[in-house]
Amino acid sequence: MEQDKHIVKSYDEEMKEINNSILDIGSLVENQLKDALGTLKNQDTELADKVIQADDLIDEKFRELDQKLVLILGKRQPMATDLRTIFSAIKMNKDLERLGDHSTNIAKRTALIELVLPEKPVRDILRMGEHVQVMIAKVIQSFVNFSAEEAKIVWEMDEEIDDEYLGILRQLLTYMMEDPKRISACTNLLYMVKDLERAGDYVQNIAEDIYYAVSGEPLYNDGPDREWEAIKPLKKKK
Amino acid sequence: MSNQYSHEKIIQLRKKRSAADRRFKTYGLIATLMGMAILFFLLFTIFSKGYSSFQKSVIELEVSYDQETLKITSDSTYEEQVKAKFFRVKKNAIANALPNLNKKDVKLINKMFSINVDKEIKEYFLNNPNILNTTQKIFVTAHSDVDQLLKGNARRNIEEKKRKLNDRQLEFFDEFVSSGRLKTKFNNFFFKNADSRHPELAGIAGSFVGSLFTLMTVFLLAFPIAIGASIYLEEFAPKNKFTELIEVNIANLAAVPSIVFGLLGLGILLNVFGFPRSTPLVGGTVLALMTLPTIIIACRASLKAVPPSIKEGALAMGASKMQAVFHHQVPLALPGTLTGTIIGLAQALGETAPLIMIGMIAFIPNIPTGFTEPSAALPVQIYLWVESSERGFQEKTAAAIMMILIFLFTMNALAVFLRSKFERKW
Amino acid sequence: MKNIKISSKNVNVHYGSKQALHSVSLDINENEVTSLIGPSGCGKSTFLRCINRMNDLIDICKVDGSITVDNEEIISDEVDVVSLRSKIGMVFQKPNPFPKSIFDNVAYGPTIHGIAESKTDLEEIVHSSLKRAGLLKEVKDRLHEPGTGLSGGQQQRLCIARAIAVNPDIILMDEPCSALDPIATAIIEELIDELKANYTIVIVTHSMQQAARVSQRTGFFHLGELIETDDTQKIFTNPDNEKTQGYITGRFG
Repeated sequence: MEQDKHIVKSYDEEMKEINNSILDIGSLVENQLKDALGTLKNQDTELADKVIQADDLIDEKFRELDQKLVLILGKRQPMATDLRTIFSAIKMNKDLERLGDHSTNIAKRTALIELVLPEKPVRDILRMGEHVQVMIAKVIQSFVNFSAEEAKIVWEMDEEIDDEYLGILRQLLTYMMEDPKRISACTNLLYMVKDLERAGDYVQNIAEDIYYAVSGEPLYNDGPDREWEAIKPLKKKK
Repeated sequence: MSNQYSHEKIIQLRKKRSAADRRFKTYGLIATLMGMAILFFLLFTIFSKGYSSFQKSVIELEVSYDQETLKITSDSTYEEQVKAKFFRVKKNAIANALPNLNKKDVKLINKMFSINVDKEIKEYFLNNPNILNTTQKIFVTAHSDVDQLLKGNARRNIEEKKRKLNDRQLEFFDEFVSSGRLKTKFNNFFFKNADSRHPELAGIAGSFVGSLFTLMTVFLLAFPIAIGASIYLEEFAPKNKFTELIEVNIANLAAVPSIVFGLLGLGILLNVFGFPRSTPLVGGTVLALMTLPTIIIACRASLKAVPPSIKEGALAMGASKMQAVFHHQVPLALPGTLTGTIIGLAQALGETAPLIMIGMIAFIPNIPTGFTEPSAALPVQIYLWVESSERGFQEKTAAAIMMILIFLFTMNALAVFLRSKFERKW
Repeated sequence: MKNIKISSKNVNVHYGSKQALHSVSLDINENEVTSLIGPSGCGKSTFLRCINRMNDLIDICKVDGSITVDNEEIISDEVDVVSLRSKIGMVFQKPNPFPKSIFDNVAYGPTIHGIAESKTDLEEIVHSSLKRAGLLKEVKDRLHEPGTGLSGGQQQRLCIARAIAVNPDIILMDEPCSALDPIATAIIEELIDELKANYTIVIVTHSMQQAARVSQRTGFFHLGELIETDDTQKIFTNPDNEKTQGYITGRFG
């Protein structure tokens, strides 16, 4: 993560451990989403079980890293770049854990559904899921490279995810309106796509954390809240 | 690679070290004991020689204060009484001191009494004029020759020619002793009187007071000048070659032999400025010059030893340099300065050579009452008495040395007291 | 927007032939705490001592450049250093109470500057200074005991009381907590926080954490140069200069 070495070697070693822990959790989370999408594609309950178990591992690693971060905060009283790095690491840890949770939710829900799912929405969801996977891979890369620019690019990618989410949302609403028999299946898909959208948000958070750690500047979301924009017309229809 | 020192070697080295430690401590102890032994020997010698000075020999006389001989009446005034013929009374008393004395005997016996007896007989009367027309038995001072024989300082069993008292006088001596009329009493003359040609009457009062006045002069002159000079040189003087030169010279002055200062006093104070000779003023001035370097060196060292943080603290509060130095540095330097001063004064007390040069070696038979009166000083007195041929002065010399030592001891005790009183922790 | 209380421009300090400060320009705001940080020997104490002309005490020290206090130049032969120092108090690294009573320590300044008009006036000043320094409660029953009998932290607060007794505008502190334990340090830091409402404080510290806690502005010195000056918050979260960053994160000494 950092260029020059600390005078106290154990400080450097502790930072390196944190670095590695984050990468570990990151790759676990990457796999988590991949597998979760796999369960949706094939409605594979065995895979779903694997995903659910893997979540325990992520939680354990989260707690370990949390502990390490508390200790380094108290022990080293970090300043400047160290301070921002550790502060961001604390937030990233939490964000990754939540990211894992949302992926797990997708798998859990898939395991519960014994229905036939409408093909098009599922295809769209899987595509959206791939985009989120790309985001995760890129954010991990920006972490490895400790690059603010790369993090910003990931941050901006969430806009597309949000757009895709809105599109699938409308699609599912239309399906449900056309045929009330589809409501059950579509509602589940609705929850899943929401999980995916939240996952995208968490990756965006992680990108923000990395950006702040590197540059010392926060990233702001200035635009209108697009989700509420999408629902507004629906609300007015009475 | 094996360890350079094996375990046994380490133990050996350690043993050697502790042995060396012990040896050094033993040497130190031996040296201390030797020093103490020599000191005690010295003190013992002085004391044993000098303590007899504190006794004087007195002879009991029957003195008839009859008014016929004295030529006064019971109504006489004090002035008349003073003028009375006490000499006659004394003559009669001595003539009747022992029975069956012929004219020659009386002359011999007369020599056994101190010349002071006249005065003593007179004083006895004047203190109590009611004894007119009565016969009193009073103890009067014996002559030094008798005194020394009684104390055992003079030998009897040598040829008559070599003795101070001839055989007949020895008979009288033995008679007085066996009848209890010749004995020793506390010698108040030693403490009350000034110097005298007669050993039995000689005392240190004159030289003691002379020394006291001299030391006072030294202190009043040297202390303020030395402190002022030290403070100036240490704190205010610019640091250049000139001040360095002054510093070197002050150190050198401390090593100048005291007699040189005496010559200075003689040449300049007496001859050029016309100071009164033999006075504590001159003596004190000369000794003050001598003591200045000692006090300056002690004072400067004390000033240097004050931690600069105290002064910095004062300066940072807006104290001027004078205030910082005088309010803070000087009080903390006081204990060390006082010690140096007392050492300097003690040195000055014992200096003889300069005082001799300025004339304080004269024979002064009275106690001085002021700084400008001629006087003697204790060390000079000792010198004079040592030089004297009379045996009676020998014991006085030792006693005077004891007095000087007691004086010094008291000054040192004062120094310790003052030091602890002014000592402040910083 | 705060007033500038002390302004220095291009200050150079030489100890003989060795240059200790290179062209330092730094402004200090009124009623604010400014901290000077940097490794040992970087010149921060030297700069501090320029402000109250304490460097004058060192013969071989030469100061040039300009320092103004309340817009009046102080590096000038015409300045009355004694009255300058009564406007600027100083607290040193090792507490140095005078070997006098607690009362006399605090009363010294007002006495020599003639601030107190009567004995009761003086008592009032001593009591209020001790109170403002947070020491009165602990010592009010023993004001006539020696100041050197107090604990380290109390002695330092006594020195602070002594400094504020002459009612200065500015208080300079040279690593005031170096010799103190953490509790005494915390008490002094709290005191500094309270004092800043009425005084301009400049503190030299070698602890970035302390600077972060007590000061609003920070200047980083290195090898006699002023490398960076900014709001303390900026310096300890995101300093501009690499050297500053390296020092405060412990990447070089």
